[in-house]
Amino acid sequence: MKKTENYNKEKQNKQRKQPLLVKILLLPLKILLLLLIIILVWFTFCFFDRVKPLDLLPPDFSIYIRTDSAWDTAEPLLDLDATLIAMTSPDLQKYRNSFLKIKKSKLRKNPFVRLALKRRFDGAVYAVDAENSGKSENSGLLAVMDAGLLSGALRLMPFAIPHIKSFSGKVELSSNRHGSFYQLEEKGFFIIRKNLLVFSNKRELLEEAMTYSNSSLYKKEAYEAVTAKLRDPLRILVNGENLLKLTNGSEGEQLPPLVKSYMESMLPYLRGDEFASMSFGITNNELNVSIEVPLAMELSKLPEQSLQVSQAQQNPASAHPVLSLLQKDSVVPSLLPKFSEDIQYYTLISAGNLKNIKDAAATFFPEEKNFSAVWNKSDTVSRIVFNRGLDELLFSWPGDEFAVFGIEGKAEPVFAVKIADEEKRREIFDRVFSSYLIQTNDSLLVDGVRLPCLQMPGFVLSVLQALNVNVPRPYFLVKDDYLYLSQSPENLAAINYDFQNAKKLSSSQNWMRVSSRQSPYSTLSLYYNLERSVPFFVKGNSAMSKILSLYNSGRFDLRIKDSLLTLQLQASAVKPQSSIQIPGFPMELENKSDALLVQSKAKKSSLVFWVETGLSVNSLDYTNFERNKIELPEVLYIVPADESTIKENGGEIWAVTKSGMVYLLNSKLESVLGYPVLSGLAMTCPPFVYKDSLVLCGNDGKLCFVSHKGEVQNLETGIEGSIKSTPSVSGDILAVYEKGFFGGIHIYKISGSGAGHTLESLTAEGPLELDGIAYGSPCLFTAGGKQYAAMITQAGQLYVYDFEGRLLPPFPLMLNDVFYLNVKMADGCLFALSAEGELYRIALDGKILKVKIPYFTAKSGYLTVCDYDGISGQEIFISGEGNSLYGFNSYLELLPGFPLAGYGNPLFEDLNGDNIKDCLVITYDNKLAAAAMQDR
Amino acid sequence: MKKTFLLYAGLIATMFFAASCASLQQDVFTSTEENNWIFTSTEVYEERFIKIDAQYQQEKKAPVEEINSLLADISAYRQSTNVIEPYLRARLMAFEGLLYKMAGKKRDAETAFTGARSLQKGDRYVQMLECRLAKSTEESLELVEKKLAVDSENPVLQLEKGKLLYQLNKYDKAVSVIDNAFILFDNEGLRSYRIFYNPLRRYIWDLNQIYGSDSSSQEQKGLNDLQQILNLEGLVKLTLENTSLLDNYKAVSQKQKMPALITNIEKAGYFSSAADQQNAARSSEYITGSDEITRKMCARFIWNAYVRSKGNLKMFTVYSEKYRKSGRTKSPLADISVDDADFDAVLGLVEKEIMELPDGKRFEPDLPVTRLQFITWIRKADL
Repeated sequence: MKKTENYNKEKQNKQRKQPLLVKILLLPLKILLLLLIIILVWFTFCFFDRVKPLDLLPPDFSIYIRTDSAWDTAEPLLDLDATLIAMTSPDLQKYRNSFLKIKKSKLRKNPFVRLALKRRFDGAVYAVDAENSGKSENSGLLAVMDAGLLSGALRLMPFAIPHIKSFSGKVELSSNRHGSFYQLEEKGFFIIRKNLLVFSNKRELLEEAMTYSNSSLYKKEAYEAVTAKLRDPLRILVNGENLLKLTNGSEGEQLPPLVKSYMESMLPYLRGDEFASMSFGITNNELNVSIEVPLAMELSKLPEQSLQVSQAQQNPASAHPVLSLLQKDSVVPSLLPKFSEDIQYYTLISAGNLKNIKDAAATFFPEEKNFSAVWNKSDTVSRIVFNRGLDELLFSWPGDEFAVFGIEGKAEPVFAVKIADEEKRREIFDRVFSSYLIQTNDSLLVDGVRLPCLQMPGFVLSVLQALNVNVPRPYFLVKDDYLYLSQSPENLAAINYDFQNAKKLSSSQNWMRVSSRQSPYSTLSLYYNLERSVPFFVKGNSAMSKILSLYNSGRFDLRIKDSLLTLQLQASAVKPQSSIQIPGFPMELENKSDALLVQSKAKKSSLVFWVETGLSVNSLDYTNFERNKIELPEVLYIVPADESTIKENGGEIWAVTKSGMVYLLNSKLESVLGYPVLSGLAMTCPPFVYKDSLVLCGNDGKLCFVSHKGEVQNLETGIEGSIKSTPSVSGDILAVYEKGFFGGIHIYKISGSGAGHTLESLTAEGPLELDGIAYGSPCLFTAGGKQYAAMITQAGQLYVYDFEGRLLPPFPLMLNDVFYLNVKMADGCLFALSAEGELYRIALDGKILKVKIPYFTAKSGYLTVCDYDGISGQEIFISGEGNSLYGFNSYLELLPGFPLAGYGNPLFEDLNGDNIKDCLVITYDNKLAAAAMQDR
Repeated sequence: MKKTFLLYAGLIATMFFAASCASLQQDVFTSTEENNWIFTSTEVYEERFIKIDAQYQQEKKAPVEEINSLLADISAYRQSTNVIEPYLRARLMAFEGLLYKMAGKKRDAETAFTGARSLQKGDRYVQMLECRLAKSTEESLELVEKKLAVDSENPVLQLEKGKLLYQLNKYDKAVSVIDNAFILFDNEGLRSYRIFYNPLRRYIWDLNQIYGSDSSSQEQKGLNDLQQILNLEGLVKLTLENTSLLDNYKAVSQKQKMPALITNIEKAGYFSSAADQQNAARSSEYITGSDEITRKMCARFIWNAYVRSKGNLKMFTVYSEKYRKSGRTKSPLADISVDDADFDAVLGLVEKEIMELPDGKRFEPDLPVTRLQFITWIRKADL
C-alpha cells in the first residue's frame, strides 16, 4: 500500500517536474501526430471505400485497354525510335512538340511524379452514333485512372479545382441526372468519383459511365476476360463486331474493301462471348505483338446468326473455304528442324494440302477474274498435252507442307514441297517429261550431285524468246520426302550438303532471338531478314511500316490451337539502327538555297531559318515541323539578331536584299515596325551583327550600321581596297581583311550604339601584312589572356598577330598547300582546310598534325566549329565541293557515322528529345536533312 | 502444193533434228569453289566496264575499241568456263547489254537484257540495263527513282541516277546523288567507283558552278565541248552569249561575220594591254595572233572588259602605278613581273577573285585555257 502511494507520488512529481518549455515544444509534435493519424485514417478509408473501374465502363466497347501501371507502360515508350517515327506522322505531328517536351522533361526522374503515375489505367473506345452525338466523329473514349493509394488526395481535388489558376475559365462544373461533372472546354468531360478520375470525349458516354453499375451488365466470360490478372504490362481486348461498326462509320480511315469484306464474312465465326486480345511489348531492340482470336469453329458453338448463314448453305464447314484451313490445329513443320544455319528467310505453310489452299486462295480472286473458268480451261489444256487433269498433276502427290526460303549469299530462292506419294510423283514427272512441252536435262553435276533441270525444248524456247517471253529453268532435287526447286543449282547443292552436315537454324542466334516467345507449332510461319526479304506488313510508306522496318529481322507466325487463332510477331533489331536519319527528315526545300542555316538567338526558340536565294526567307520550327515563309524579292543574306534586339522589338532575323534593303523579321517572319530600311549600299560581302545593329560592308571600304530602331549610320574605315569577306567580331573588336597584294588585316575597336558608333583603328600605322593573297576573314581568338588575329594566305603562309602588330613565334609558318578558306580556332589550336582536302591542326607552339580526306576538294566550302556534345571538346565540321559533310574531333579523328550527306554549315540542336544535339544541314540537292548524333 | 508440203516437212524435220541434237546431253561438272572463282572474274569485268562507262558519260562518245575488246573477252570467258549460276550469267549478260547499248546496238542490248532479266532481275547491273533501255532519259530517270524507292541503298542505281540527272543538265542534283552513291560504294568497300567516276563528278561540279540548277539554255549558249581548249573565236562567242560584257556588240554580232566582229572588238581595245589602250603598239596581236588562248591572254581580255563595264578607266593601270609610286620592284607573283604588260590585269583579277592563282604563288600565264574555265571567269567578271 505504502509502495503504491510512493509510486503515485513519484509519478505526480515527475509530471510536475516536466517544464513548460518542453510541453510547448511537444505540442506541435502532438498536433502533427494527430494530423498524421487523421491523414492515415482518411487515406485508409479512401483506399477501401472505392469504385471498380469496370463499374464505369459499359460492356459494348470496340477496344478495351488496361494497364496496371500507366507509368511503367508509357514511360519507356518515350525513348523509342518507333515513338518518334509515330509522332512524325501527319496525324500526330501537331503533338510532336509536347511529346519532345515530355521526353526531355526532368519530371521523368521525379519520384513523386513516378508514384503519382504508377496507377492502374482502363480505357475503352466505343462506336457511337455520330448523329446523336452531334459531331462528325463516331468514336467515343472513356478513360479511367484508379488513384489507388493516392485516392485520399484525389478525393480532395474537387475542393482544389476552383482555386487552381490554370483551370480558371477552362473548367466548368455541369450536371446531369446522375450528378455533377466537369467540362474541359471543347476537349471533353471529366469526373472524380472516389478513387477514380474519369475522362470522356462524349457527354452521353460519360452519362452512361456515371450510372456506376456497368460491371453488372457484363456477361460472365467477358467479365472474366476483362478482370483477369495481367500477364503483360498492357492488355488490349477487341470486340470484332463492334470494331467493324467503328470502322464502318469512320469518315477518315476506311478499311480496304477486300479486308472489310473478309472481316464481314469471318465475323459469324468469331466467338461472340469472348474477346480478341492483343498484347505487345516494344523496346529499341525488340518488338513483340500477339493477337489471339477465339473462333467458333464447331457447329454447336456458332452463334445464331452464323448458323442461319450456314444452314442456308447446307454445309457449315464449307461456308468459307478459309475456315476449312482454320479448323485444323497447327503442327510443327517437318522442314523447320532440317533448315541449316545459313537460311536467311523462309515462309512455311502447313495449313493443309494444295487443294485446300487453292480453294481458299480462289476466294480472294475478284469475281470478274472468274477463277473457276480459268481453272477449267487449264484443266482441258492439261488433259490434251499431258493426258492428265490438273487435279491429278498438282494435287495427287504433294503433302501438306510448302516452303520458300533463301540461303545466305545466294539471290535465288528455293521452293520446297513435301511429297506425300513418291511413286505418284515419279509417275507424274515421267508423264510430264515425256511430253513435247517440258523436258528434263540432267547433265549437270555440282559438287558431285546430279541436278536435273526442267526446261522446254530448244525450238519452243526459241519461239518464246522471239516473243520476248522468259521461261524459268529450275533445277530440282528430291531429298528426304521433299522436292526442292531453284534456278540456282548451287542452292540445291548447298541443301544437299547443309541439311545433313551444317549447324541448324534453330540453334542460330538470329533465329532464336525472334523465336524465344514463339511456339514451334504453326500454320503459317514467316521468318525474315529485311536485307533479303521484305514481308508484306513492312512494305509501304506508312508510319507503321517505318516502325516495323526498324527491326531488321523477325518471325511472324499464325497458329491455331483449340479454336484459338494466334497471330504473333516477334521482331528484333539485330544491329539497333540508332536511326541516323531523324524521322520527318529530309524535307524538300522549294527553291535553291545558299546552304546557310541560321538559328534564332531567342531563348528557348526552336526556329531555324534559311534563304531560298533571291526569293524568300523561310523558317522551320523543328519541334512540330511548322514551316513559315516570307517572299522578299532579291533577298541575299540573313543574320540572326542579337538578344538585345529580340528583347527590344521581337526582331529575330535580319534579312538583306541585293539592293541593300534591310528587313528585321520576327519569329513569324513579319517585318518589325519601322522596317524595311534602305541602306543605299552596294554590298561586297554578307553583313554581320554588332550588338543591336546590322553592319553592311560597302565596296569603298564603308561600313553601314543599321540599328534595331532603324537608324542608319555610315562609317569610313579608311580601307582603300575591297572587303570581300564578312569581318570578324569579338566583343568590341572588329577585324577586316583588305583583300589585295597591298592589303592586310585591319583591327578596329567599336564603341557606341544606335546611330552613334565610332571606329578606332588599332592598326593605324598600316594593316598587319601578309605576304601574298588570302581568302576569308581574320580568325580572332584569345590565348594566354591576349587577343590575336590569324590568317593564312592562299600559298599556305600562316600568320598569327597580336594587336600590337607583333607576330606570335614561331609564326609565320609555311604549310605547303593551297588554301581558299581561312583558319578557325578550336580547342586552342588553329584548323586549316586546303583546296585538296588536307585538314591541318596547328598548335600555337607550331606543332602540325594533318589528315587527308580522300577525293575531297575545297576551293569553296565551309569550316564550322561546334561543341555539339559538351563533353569531349570542340568538333570541326567541313564541307567542300560536293554533298559530303565530314566531322572530326580536335585530334583529327573522324567522328563515327561521318561523312553524311550535306553541304554548307550544319547546326546542332536536339531534334529528337534525347538531350543530345543532332546535326541539321542543307544538302546539295536542296533538302533539309537531320542526323542523330547519339552513339557517336 | 506437193513441193510446198515437202519443204515444210523438211523444215520441221530439220528443226526437230536440230532440237534433238541440242538436247543430246553431256555431263557438265562444276563446283561451288569454281563459282566463287567465276564471281571474282566478273569483278574484273565490272571494273573494266565502269572505266569505259565513266569515259562514255563524260565524253558522250562511245569508246568503240574498248567496248569491242571487253565484249570479246566476256564472250570468250563465257565459252571457256562453266558459268551455270544465274546470278553470274545475269551479271555478265547485263555487262554485254550495257556495252551493246553504248555502241548503239539497241536490239542486241535488248536481247541481252531479256536473258539477264530471266536469270536475275534484281541484279544491280540488270536493273541498270533496264533503265538504260527506256525510251528517253526522263523515262530512265523515272524508272531508276522507282527502283530506288524500294532499294535506296543501291549505289549502282544511285550513281546511274546521278548520270541521268547530269544528262538532263540538273547538275546540282547530279553532284548530290553521285556523292551519296560514293558514300554507299565506300561503305561496301568498292573504291574503284570513286576513282573512275571522280573526273566526271568534277566536271559536273564545274558545270554546276556556272549554271547551277538553271541549265536549260546550255545548248543555246553554245556550251558544248566545254573541255576543249579556247580559241579567239570561242572567247568572243562565249563572252557574247554568256555575259553582258560585250553587249555593245551584240546587235552587230548578228549582222557581222565573226572575223569582222573580232576586228571591231580589237579596235575597241579589248585585246590590247593596259598601257596600250589605243593599240598604238599593236599589243593586241599577242591575242589575235595566237591559235590557243592562254591564261594571261584571258586575263587581259577579261580585265579590259571588266574595267570598261565598271566605267572607271583609271583602274586599267592602278596596280602598276601603285607599285611605281611605292618604289617596289618585286612582283608578288613569281611569273608576272612588275613590267609585264598584263601586270595590272593579272593582279586586278586575282584580287577581285575572278581568276585564281593555281598554287597561291604563280599565275601560270602560259597555260592553255578550256572553254569551261573561261566561262567560269567571265561570268564572275560580269556579276
